[in-house]
Amino acid sequence: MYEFNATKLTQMANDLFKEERVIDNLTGWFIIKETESKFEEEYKAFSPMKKAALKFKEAIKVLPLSISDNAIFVGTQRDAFARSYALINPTFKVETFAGYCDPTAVYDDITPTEEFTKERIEALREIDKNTPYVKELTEVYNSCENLTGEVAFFIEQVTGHLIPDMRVALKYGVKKLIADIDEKLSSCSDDKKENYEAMKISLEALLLLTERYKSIAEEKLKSADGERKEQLKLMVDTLSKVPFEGATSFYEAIQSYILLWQTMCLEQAPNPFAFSVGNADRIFEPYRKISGLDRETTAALLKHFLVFFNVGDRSWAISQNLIVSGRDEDGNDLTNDTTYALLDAYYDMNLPQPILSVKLHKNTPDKLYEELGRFLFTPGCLTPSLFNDDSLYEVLSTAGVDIDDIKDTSIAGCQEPLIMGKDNANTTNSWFNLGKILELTLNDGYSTVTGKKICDLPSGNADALTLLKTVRERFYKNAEYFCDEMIKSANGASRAISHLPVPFLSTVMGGIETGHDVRDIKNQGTKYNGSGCLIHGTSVVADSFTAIDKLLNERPQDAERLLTALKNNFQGDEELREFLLSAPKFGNNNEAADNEAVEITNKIADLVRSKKNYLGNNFRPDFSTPSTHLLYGYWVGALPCGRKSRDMLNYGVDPLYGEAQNGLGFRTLSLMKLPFIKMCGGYASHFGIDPKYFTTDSYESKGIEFKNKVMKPLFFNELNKNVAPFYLYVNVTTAEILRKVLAEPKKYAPSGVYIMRIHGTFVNFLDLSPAIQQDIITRLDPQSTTIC
Amino acid sequence: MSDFIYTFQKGFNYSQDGPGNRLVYHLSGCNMFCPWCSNPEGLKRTDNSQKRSINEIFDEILSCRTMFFDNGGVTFTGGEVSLQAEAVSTLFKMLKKEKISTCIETNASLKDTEKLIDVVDYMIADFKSPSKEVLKSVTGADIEIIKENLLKRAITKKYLLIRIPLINNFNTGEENARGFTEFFKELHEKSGSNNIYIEILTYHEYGKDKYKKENLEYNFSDGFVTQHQVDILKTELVKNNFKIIKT
Repeated sequence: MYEFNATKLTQMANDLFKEERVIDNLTGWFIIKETESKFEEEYKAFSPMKKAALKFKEAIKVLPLSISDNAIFVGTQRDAFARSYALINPTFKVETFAGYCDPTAVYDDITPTEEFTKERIEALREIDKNTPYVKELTEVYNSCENLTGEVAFFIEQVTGHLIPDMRVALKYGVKKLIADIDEKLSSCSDDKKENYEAMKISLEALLLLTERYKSIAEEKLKSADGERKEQLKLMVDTLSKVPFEGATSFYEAIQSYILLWQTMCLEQAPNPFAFSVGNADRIFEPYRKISGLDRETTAALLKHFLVFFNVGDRSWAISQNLIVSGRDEDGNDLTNDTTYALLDAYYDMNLPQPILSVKLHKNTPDKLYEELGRFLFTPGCLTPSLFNDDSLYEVLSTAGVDIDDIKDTSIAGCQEPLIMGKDNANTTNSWFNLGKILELTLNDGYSTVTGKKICDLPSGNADALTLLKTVRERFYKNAEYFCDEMIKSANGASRAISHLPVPFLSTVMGGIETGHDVRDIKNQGTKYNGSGCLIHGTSVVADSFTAIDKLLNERPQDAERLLTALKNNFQGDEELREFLLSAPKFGNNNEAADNEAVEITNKIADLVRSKKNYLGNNFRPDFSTPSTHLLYGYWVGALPCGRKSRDMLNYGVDPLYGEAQNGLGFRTLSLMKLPFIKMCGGYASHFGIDPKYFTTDSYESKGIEFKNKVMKPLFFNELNKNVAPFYLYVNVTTAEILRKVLAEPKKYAPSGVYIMRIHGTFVNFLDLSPAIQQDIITRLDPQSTTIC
Repeated sequence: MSDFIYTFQKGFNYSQDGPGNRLVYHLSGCNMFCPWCSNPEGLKRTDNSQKRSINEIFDEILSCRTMFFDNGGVTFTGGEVSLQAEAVSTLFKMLKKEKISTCIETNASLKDTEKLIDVVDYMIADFKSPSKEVLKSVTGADIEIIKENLLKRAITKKYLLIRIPLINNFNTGEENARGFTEFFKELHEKSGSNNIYIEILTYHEYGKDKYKKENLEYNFSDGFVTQHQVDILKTELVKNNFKIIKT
């Protein structure tokens, strides 16, 4: 029997990560797609779902597999991903970024080799272009091109971005899922029969994958000796059992989980971004208990689990989220021993993936804050996303989630709260740009960036003074028009992606119960369903309204002058810009400015929430801007708040950088006024905090200081009568420190990894494109977070 | 009477200068010149100081009520708050009506400090050295006024926290420790107050970088204290049953 050796396992995990980081061409996804396309003809008689499962199983048969000598678990998700994600691509430029509209652009992300020749790649691209999915999606994009070109809104088909519930499969084994399917098959209506068959085939694909790994391990075992022999024997024994049977040890549970996850991702190759684990501490704690593992050994095994989420040279599988801690419906804390072991594993490895999130609540033990201190105050170390579980209960129950389900809230992607195994929220389906809508409102539908006529506006045009006096009314009217157009296209994209059913995923998302595919557009496959809308630019529009009021009050004769200045990007009229900049801004606890932000947030949240998706479920307002405050800001002209053309929009619900001048407490007061209860799709907020404000001497005591100075005022302030904010991410650093890291990376990040946060994900700062590095530095915005 | 208050900084902090979450105002100008001062930007009233009316500050404080959780409130520090005692006292009376907790952090070396002693809820005062001569020569302050002010506050039996900034080559060692203790004993005996607390702050140089910005020279070195030096003072205080706290 192999005895786990924590030190040895840690060394292996580190070496395994090093191996992964040198892989600079990802080809597995191509093999899967190519194989599936080869079998299109053979299986064409079956329903789309069954055909998908059969083709997938064929791909699993031929996908090249291997087991590293440093692996203690088998499995990789490398073959599900391409080297696509723009923001960690050094060639990325805000100016040329065109979104993700071309689903065949992924063929540019494979480097041609002798085996994967240019011709082979192009041949598959051509086939792909003629698939119903790509054809329909292309039509959708073409139909809204005018409005998405300068990003009044944007839409996308959503892959990944879900939280599977693997608990049944872990506990009872895949055999239980198959037995459940068989039972359903014996009594279900005809229309569901092929769906269930498809789910079963996809589970067989998983078992086939397991079998293939087992053969490799057996082969390796023949020539192995010493400790590795023992390890391989454990691997073979384990693969003989899980995932088919239920796991009865911590090691088996993780192995089972990895294979389930791998299959889920392979099914959506390429690029099923942002699948999330859910409350990993609660998922694995029962198995840790059975195995009686101590914290160190548990952490050592979990280090391998974490390495699994990193793909290739830049960790191309992005925004995978893992959450810990939180509470039950009675407010009891659910932190456990695996929570702390996971934190140890995260801290020791400091990997770019998966993203760590923590659910805090008013009864969170101080010990957890103490243990989080090291993450916050070690330079270059990952920092967790922080969630307020007390608020999540209120927000989600108001949004219609059953109270029993809320403890299973986790984060899909960046900060979107979803229910594990029950919620298909199409989180990144639509993107709404309020800044652009204001620009067009003030310029009769013409872009001030390019001069192009974008559309005829419902609000029509008027003389400058009338236009400014009625700007709110006109803006909201136009917002409604753009919103309707956006929803039409967003639902079109969801219909397009339904051509690619996901039978395997459906088995861990409630599909066995409903008999429907997760992506089915006629029948709801998951308990909860909705579509997301990411709302951009609330603060810049609020500040613009306040500045217009100031102008109308103090110098109404300059109405025309303002519109001219906006067209000219304030060139030649710096005086007017200074005047506009001196108007009150959101983020300083100024009543007028803050009320404006509250009103916009309320109105736009209500507008988005009133819209229906392809299944007739409501859209979910999500006030987050995952680097799109830069990308979409690039397409927004000068605004009355004084923001210049092409400059960034405000990040998430935050004030525009530089506008909150009175420090953290005043900024917190402004933030607390926003209607978080309506943000059921999530929101984003970031504090860049100078470590100098935390003066105690240990990580533990700094963790408590952080609780008291930052988290308590924002999340757990008993004097706040509104629903408290429920999300925050932080970078505890300064611009000077980051500039030093960039200037001398070898000195400040000898390992080559210096983790920073951008929006809901963390990344290796050194991997980022210069534009995004600069964005991180700019948005530290130290004046907005001073502590006295 | 001045209707204005001059500040150079404001912001929130938790439980550092008074209980709970507090809005802290730094007031411009100081009568002392401690060479280790961590807020050199507050030493003089300059063009960078903000001149704000009492009413304006009062309204601002009211709009921040939500942040005064855990028995928090407002703290005025410096510079030296007593230099603007009149205006601050007026403001405190207004805040009292609104049931907003007030606190000052003062060097207590001005006669005017007494204008605040009765109205403020929490008083934090420095007692930097028990030696009249050393205190005078290094900081310019008169120890007798400080002692008088501290006694006046103690007699009210309201909260008084006395802070000792422990600094090498200035106030360490056994003789100083005995000097501190003797005064605290006297304070206790004369006032009968059980509401006196002592805090030892060890020397730091967090403010050193600011000197360049202010075109000033940082002329103090070798101020850091050892644990042993801290323990000498602590032992002496503990022996005499003083309540030592850490904020």
